Amino acid sequence: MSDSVLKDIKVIDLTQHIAGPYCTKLLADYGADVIKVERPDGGDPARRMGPFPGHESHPEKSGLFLYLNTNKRGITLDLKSGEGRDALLELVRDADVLVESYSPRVMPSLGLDYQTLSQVNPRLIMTSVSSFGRNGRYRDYRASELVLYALCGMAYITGGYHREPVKHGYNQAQYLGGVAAASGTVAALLGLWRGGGHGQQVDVSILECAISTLFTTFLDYTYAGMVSRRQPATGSSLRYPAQTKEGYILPTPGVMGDWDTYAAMAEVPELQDPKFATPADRQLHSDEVDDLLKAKWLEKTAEEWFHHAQEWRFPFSPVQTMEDISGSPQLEDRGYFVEFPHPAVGTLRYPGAPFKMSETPRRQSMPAPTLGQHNAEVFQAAES
Amino acid sequence: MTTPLPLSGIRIVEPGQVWALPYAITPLAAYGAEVIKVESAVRPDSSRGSPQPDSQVGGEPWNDGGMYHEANRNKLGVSLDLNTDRGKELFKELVSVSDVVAQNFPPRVMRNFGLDYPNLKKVKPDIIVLDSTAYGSSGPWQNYIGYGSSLQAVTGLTYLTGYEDGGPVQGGILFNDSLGALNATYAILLALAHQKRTGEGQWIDLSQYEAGVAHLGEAFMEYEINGVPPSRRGNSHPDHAPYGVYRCIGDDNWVSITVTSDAEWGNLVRAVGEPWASNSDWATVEGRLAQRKTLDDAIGRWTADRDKHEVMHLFQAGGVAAGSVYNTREIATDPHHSDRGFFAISQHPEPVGPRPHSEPLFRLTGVDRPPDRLAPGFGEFNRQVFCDLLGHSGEEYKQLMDQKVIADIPANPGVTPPPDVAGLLRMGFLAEHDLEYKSRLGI
Repeated sequence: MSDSVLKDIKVIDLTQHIAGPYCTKLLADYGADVIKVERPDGGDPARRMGPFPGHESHPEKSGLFLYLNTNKRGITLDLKSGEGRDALLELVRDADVLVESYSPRVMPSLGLDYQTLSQVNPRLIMTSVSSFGRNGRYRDYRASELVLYALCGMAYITGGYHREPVKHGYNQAQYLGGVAAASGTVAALLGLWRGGGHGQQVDVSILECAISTLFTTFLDYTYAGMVSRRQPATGSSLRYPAQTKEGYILPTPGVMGDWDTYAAMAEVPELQDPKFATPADRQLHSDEVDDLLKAKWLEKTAEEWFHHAQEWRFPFSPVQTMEDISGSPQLEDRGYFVEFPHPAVGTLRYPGAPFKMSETPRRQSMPAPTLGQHNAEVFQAAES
Repeated sequence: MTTPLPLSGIRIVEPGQVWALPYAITPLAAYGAEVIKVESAVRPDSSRGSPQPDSQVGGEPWNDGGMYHEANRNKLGVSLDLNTDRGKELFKELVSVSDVVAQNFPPRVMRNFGLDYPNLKKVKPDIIVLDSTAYGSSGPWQNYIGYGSSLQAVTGLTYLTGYEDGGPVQGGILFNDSLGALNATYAILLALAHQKRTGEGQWIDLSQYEAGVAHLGEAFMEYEINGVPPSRRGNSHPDHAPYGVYRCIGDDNWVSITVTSDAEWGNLVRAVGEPWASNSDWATVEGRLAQRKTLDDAIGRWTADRDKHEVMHLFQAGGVAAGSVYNTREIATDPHHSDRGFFAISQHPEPVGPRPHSEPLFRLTGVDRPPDRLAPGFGEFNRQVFCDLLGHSGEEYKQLMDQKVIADIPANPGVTPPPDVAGLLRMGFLAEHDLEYKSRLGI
């Protein structure tokens, strides 16, 4: 195993789905020895979530699972059995961290609450990531990505003015929860090393992480009583993805410091008319602004507008598809994607490090484990 | 048993602006790091001015903005003109007594100042430097600029958000700033762990583009595995039904309902308690997926004359995942957040007054965190940092002020005028202007 920051840190991973596994992936990719514990009958439910090659479900071929579980070893244990629980406590004895993502009532019901685990290992850090957090009246409520997007306020402000609120694509809230849990884990390790001597429990609510992404909108309420909503189309040519000759561009004017320069960059001299001079003027004449710009955006491709506007120092960006991202010259130049073989799916490219560290780069030593792949080596080591 | 604040004794210099970087440092300051925020003496952090309390501009609007208050609690703040040689020297002096420098200018800015990692490493060999940029510090797009909204588009999130029958949709203009911030927090903590274990510093090159794509891993894998780029699918889920938002009684009120197993569907049937729900075609997930539209219509008819909160709590009591589609007023007043103490009230000087601010997103339950200190006023800690910490005399301090290397009042505050609330309301940009918001928040 190659070196990285968390070399020799042993993590017992009781997580499933997305948020918890992303947390332990972040620990594993930066060097921790993560032992992923799955139930013997089917393992992590993420194994049954797509994408699958040819859209055919197979427990060792889920693209989601393969991405979220790199660099982990995998074992199976039935935590509801006495033997399984004993084996887990044995593993916890010399672990540094335990991460779990069950609903908060589950670990106590298995007799594996923090108090019990800390008696076995007082230095243990236990990270719990759950939809609503460890306490509060919704603690035991059920959630899904969509329910969290509803309760975090993001859905209400996203989508068409006259249509239903809509969530972001895929599983954004889960990933945010995963990163916050990884941060909490390392912060607690630092606390331990800096002289606390005692472990502690880290509590992450995925809902709170999702709420943090709309704090600016939220502060409009707590500072001024303004309640935002899905926006009308007026003036949308400056705020929303616009159709170009090929693909969509996001024609962000930035801080709107200099409207004349924006008009010059966009090659629409009509917009330099004084009647469009201030933001209020442009709001008043937003239909004209929209008509002029929307017609203009159709004259070049999204990629052409992107480079053109950036030359003028406007923060335009193309609305990229995963095909665009796969072929992105910027990502290619920076060596973003990593490629490695897996016994069931062969060699695939995966998104790599979320940030580049000069001395302790993300490592790639193992693909995601097959179910129970490391049972023999982990349990033999525990016995010896 | 409580443990000491895990980051006490760590000093972080933060020339950060707006949200993507300052918000990364917020939890580090909350857990004990001494953070010195370095702002331009000329043009302060552009988040300082908004939103203004009650949309009224006071005498020092650069000290009154909510965004700035939220992201910069527990930090010390100094103002420094890095365009001057003296400013650059003072910055290096600060670095020489610090552990971390974290900043989010475009890559060329700190390079042009001669304050990039190679130069700062000469000043402090074990320094950690984090550069958070839109596209990264190398590559053909390295000098391109991007805000949160730009990043949402370029990372693929915008293309993947929206209705099945519509175009790509942006959601929340600062979403990717927060995403970048969470990643930057983790990167800095990792580097501190490495510094603690080996004594080594390092450089972190954080591209918000790359961090954003990492949060769409399964969408990328879909393309990689099957060669077809995924597209928008509204709120629906490929494997589950019902999975959507449904209209409720009142104006623009909705509830989200998601059923991810046949057992949960049984729970929903019992919670509804009406014959229409017992349709045997819907007992299995295959049946529900095949009749997704009919099923959604039936549920929508049932929710249409019900209160969204009632549906949420009725369903949750019966074991069904459901949640009201909240607006910001409903988030701010949700009792679950009070139960967890997610928002705590800080007393700002007038005209701001008391305002709620949030707890860190990771809670270290063994740590007794002191109450928040307010975000620093512009240049508020100049004297403490330049005289007490760096040892400059009162006379030098006066000289620095005279030469405008440091300042107490920004030369160019750049405060955005407050919004025309009545106009925004009239044109439909706001759902409501709640005049009772202070009493609702208990402030």
